[in-house]
Amino acid sequence: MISLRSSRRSSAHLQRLADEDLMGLVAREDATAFEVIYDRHCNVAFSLAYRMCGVRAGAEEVVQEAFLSMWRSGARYDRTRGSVRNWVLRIVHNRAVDALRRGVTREDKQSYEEGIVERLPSGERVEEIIERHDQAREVRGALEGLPGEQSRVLELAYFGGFSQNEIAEMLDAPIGTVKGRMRLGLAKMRVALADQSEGTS
Amino acid sequence: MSSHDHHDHTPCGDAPSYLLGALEPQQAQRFLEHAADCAVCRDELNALAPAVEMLAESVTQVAAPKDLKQRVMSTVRAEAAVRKDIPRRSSLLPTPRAWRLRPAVTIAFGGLAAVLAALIIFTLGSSSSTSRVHSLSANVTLPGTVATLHQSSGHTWLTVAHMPQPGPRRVYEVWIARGSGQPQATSALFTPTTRGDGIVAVPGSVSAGSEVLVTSEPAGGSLRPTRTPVIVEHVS
Repeated sequence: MISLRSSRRSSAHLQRLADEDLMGLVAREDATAFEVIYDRHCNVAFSLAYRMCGVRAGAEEVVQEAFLSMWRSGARYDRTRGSVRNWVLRIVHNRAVDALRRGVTREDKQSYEEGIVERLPSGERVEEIIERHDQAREVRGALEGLPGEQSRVLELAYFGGFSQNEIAEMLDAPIGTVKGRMRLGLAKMRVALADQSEGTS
Repeated sequence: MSSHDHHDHTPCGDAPSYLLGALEPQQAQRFLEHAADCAVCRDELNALAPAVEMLAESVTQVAAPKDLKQRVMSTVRAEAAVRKDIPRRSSLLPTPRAWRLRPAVTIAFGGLAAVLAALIIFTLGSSSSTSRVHSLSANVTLPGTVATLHQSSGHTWLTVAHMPQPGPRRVYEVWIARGSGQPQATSALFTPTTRGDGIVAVPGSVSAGSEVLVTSEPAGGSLRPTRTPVIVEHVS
């Protein structure tokens, strides 16, 4: 049984650490450090899992699997490979695609309201939460700016978990066309977001 | 009219699919091997990976359910409390065979359906072919399953064929055992396709004297193996 007071005390110190430094502690099986990581990234992780799985139970299982896997292999996080958040989202995405390919239903059985204030206190400051929501809207805007054929392919591949062969069949298009639309769609996304971040209209 | 001759299409140009997780395991394997020798594909991986990361963050943001945290953290705390005094590895594991590996160029690989948590590593390398290791000690309990361990200058991945499903609410987990040590959990969890194919990156360095093992575990993986390994690959 962990003393609540001691966990709050050490937690305050830990909350000032960057993700990468916390992961160093996680590698040494520090559960309190991992809790801070969980608090910071659980919402963005669940948002992706829910978007893909469409049902709460499936999304929860994906997120649980993902975080437990991160906990058990904390030593494997390598900061030269990118941010912890990207690492989290990559794991969640992989688990979700796996779940989709195993047949987790995508019917929307429960709707979630998008909210700015996500049950504070959480692992993120209010301004970080707001920025995350803004960022999401920005990227969705970039996606909406794509030609429909490109955004559809990205949707099916990334969020649907379909293989390029399956997508080719679904859209009755040659594989080469599907690949081309993926390439163009991602390239345009990159340009659009770079333009936005540089303040170009 | 659509053409689906996916058995003979070149992997060059598969970077976008690969990044999106849209390749079948065998295609991903071919792409990884190809990218080792193709600067164009490596450049494309570098250029487009950020866009895929953006997709992950583009979804409507919602709050994770509170009780989910309790389920995760209760398991985490319980496992943190487990002492690290580790008994020697069970002698149930078959005697490893030694295989010689040729050094090869580092390759790039990223997220895939069956590849868990492998972040993209883009490297410049002198050209050389990747090495392939076949294990004779694999398939102790999975007749017909073919497991192949691949290594390329510090990057390791496992491909499987004709591997059965792990069962409902179960997943295959990859472990690394070094020397005489206990198998250590990795972030690599995978489920083969219904056709039995799978590919999974083995995160971290797998050096000479290590063994890569696969067991069937409850969904989410385990801290310690709960079953006898179904695949054992020795690295020398």
